[in-house]
Amino acid sequence: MPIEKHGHDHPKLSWWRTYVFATDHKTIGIQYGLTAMFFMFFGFGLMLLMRWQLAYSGKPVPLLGRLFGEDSAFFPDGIVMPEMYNQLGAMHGTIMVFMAIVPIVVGAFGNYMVPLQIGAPDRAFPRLNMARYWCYLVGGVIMLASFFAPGGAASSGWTSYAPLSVIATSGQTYWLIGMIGLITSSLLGGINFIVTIIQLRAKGLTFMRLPFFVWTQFVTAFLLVLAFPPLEAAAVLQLMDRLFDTSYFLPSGLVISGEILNVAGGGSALLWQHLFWFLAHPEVYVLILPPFGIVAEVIANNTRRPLWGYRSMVYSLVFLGFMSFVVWAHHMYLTGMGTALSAFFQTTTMIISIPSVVILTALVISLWGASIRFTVPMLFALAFLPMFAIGGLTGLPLGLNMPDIALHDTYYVIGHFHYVVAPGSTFGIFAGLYYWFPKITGRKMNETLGKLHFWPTLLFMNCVFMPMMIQGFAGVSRRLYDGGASYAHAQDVLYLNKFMTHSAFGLAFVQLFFIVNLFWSMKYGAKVSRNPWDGTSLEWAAPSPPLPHVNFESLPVAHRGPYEYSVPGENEDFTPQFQADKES
Amino acid sequence: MDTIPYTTEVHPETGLYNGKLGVWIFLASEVMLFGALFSTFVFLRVGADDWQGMQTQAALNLPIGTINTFVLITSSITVVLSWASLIEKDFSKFRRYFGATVALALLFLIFKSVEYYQKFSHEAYPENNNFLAVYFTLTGLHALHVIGGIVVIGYLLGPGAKMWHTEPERYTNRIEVTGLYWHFVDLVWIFLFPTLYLM
Amino acid sequence: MSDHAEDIKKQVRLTIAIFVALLVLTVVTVAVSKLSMGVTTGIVVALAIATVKGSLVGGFFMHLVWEKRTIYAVLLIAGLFLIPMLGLILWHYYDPINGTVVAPMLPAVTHEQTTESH
Repeated sequence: MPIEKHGHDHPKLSWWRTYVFATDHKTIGIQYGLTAMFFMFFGFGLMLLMRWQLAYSGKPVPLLGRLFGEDSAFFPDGIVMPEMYNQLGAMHGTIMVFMAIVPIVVGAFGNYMVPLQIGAPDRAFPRLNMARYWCYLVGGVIMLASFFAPGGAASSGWTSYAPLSVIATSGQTYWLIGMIGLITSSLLGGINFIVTIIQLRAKGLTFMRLPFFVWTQFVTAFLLVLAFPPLEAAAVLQLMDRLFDTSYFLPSGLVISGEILNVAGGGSALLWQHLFWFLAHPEVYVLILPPFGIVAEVIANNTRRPLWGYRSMVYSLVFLGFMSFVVWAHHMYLTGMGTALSAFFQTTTMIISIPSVVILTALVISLWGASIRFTVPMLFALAFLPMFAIGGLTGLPLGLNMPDIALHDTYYVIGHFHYVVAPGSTFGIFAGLYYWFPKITGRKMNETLGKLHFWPTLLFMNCVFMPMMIQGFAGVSRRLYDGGASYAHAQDVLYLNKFMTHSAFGLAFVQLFFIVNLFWSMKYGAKVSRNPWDGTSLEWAAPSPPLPHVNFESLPVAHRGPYEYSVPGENEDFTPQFQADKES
Repeated sequence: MDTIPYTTEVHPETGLYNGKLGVWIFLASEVMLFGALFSTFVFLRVGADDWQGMQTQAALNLPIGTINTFVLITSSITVVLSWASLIEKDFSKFRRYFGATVALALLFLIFKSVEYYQKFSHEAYPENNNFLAVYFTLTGLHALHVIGGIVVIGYLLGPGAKMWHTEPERYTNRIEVTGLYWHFVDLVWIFLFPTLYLM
Repeated sequence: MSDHAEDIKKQVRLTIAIFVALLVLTVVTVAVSKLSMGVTTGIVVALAIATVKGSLVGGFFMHLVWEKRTIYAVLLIAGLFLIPMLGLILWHYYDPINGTVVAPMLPAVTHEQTTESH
């Protein structure tokens, strides 16, 4: 164990350098966490407005109506207008994916925990890390500012399909510029992660001794670095189309409102889809891999036994990362793709499901015969498994051409990917937050409030997303302003709209337990030692909270693998990586 | 930040210092960026009715393009020579070569502006056709990279040069890393030049 | 790469040789483009010369010839992702569903024509 000493003479930094333009990975992690959580609740709020409109079409939203007044173009007296609905949909997706989930799992958890778990004093490039946060914040603010643009925010969906997006109002330009900020931030972060993990691992911490969470961040970083540039290129091209009237994504003879658009033409709307999905499919794995890592950590810790098949999990993960770059066009079966290419993408899509199933199965088998501690993080981790399984398995029909033709752009798709990211990724995030909160603050979060948060969240999540599958099977299309009320085939499932909306508001309400718990525990939570969960990985060797700028009193050394729980012959049921071998 | 290992000394296993690995990963992402733009070019070209016609109509200035290629290649070699001078601990020689690099980069931009000016004065704008769109986008992005290089090199020649007296090794590493970026900018141009001017 | 002065001198000589080769190749590629070849041959030749030049810059100016394994690995991964991006997108162009036509094959209307028709 490291020896307690307080002799680190770090020049005291000014308030600005400590809290605002910070270079300490822990401070940046917290900045990321708080900012992204704000965006997440904002995006959640947009979703509530949409759900209100779907259940009570044309009725004013309670309370908000007075705020906006009757002059508002999109939101008169709190009634969601169709244009407003499109903006809400596009911005909800954009905010949740690019400004909330990814920044939380990579920017917040990755930033805070990876250097601790590999026993490093900081990230390899601390100032780059700071630049990264500020790129993200500027990009995010530009995105939010687009609501005040003439014509409102971007309204062409989070996918911004051309040519609709090219001829859209100026909000789309804000969207593109905001995206360039967010992409740059992800690029800088990815570079930093790869270098940090390759170069700064503690002595003795070989690649096969890395905690699974670090592995997920490593693969994620490669996805960020290599998949984002094509979208950056596409964003630049779309900006050219919008600002300089080029025709990258505009075909010849495009007719808009009965008139041929006056452009050179010769472009291709498909090109946008290819470049977009080349990023956006790996992006899905950016959303889900770090939560996988968090869940693996929590499960190993609370089952008190090693992860089952650590090596096969790592190999699956790396394979998953590679495959994620050659499956993207399964989002595009309906674009007029020939059978050969379609067969290629169907095959790769089926292949990529194998490593995900290997990882999930390994996690499930890890539970076998364990005496499980049902702590709050463990509850979230356990719930993650079936929720992600539903999300993943409902994706299989969409990966095959034939069922996709029927299900494409229905609520089934919405249900599918929300199962992956809403009860999937966010449950991983909650598990991580309850699990590492003691490390970050030195205090534990309240268990009772945590359980009050967990059980209703699990229930309401399913009440929101399961009916979407039913609606999708009935053929209700996504992005409908009235939720399908004007379609004959949707009439039998319309009643579900109210049910889902009420569940969504219920979901919003129970998050109060979490918010109260978070802030209350920061101040009044029970004080804990540096290793409250009896964990084995290196972050538990640091004090809670870790020392500013250096993390550890003395840099730890790894003596063994990351999950040495219940080793026969040991006194304790855990043998930390940083514990020196016994003299023999 | 002095606490971070391997900022100057190399890692025993990888044989690299952080900055070098970092810049190579950045260049890998740049490869993807320009790769995406190149695949855009290929996709639009094979789909176009008469790409050759658009290209002939655009009448790019081949002499200027060729001279600019020479300029950029020369600026690449001055970077190598400046780094070699630092290894030989000859700081004034380094400054001459590194200054020459900035001068050549500026010269490249001047030629580029002349070329753009000629195009605009003949009413050749990006909106005219997709060849011109590709031409302006690709050369424009490349020029942005050149400007980025000038900013970095300018900083290392000016205020950043103080580091040579305090941490010479780290400064040499910075020059090497900047050089890698600069060669990449050169490399992109080597592919852009035939793609736009000769094919 | 070692940093000894003698090696540096050798390397500078090598660099200058590469520099001359690059200048010559630039002249060659321009000269070759003046010959009347077919469009396809022209593209292949131009890209082949560019690849040789690019390899010289990458290999010697950027020291890739003497580089460490980690960097080869990074570039290999990037290459692995670059090829499908170039290849699969193009494949989509050549493999549309029978009868349907991918957008850019529609007749190109030039700028002048559209403005005249208004």
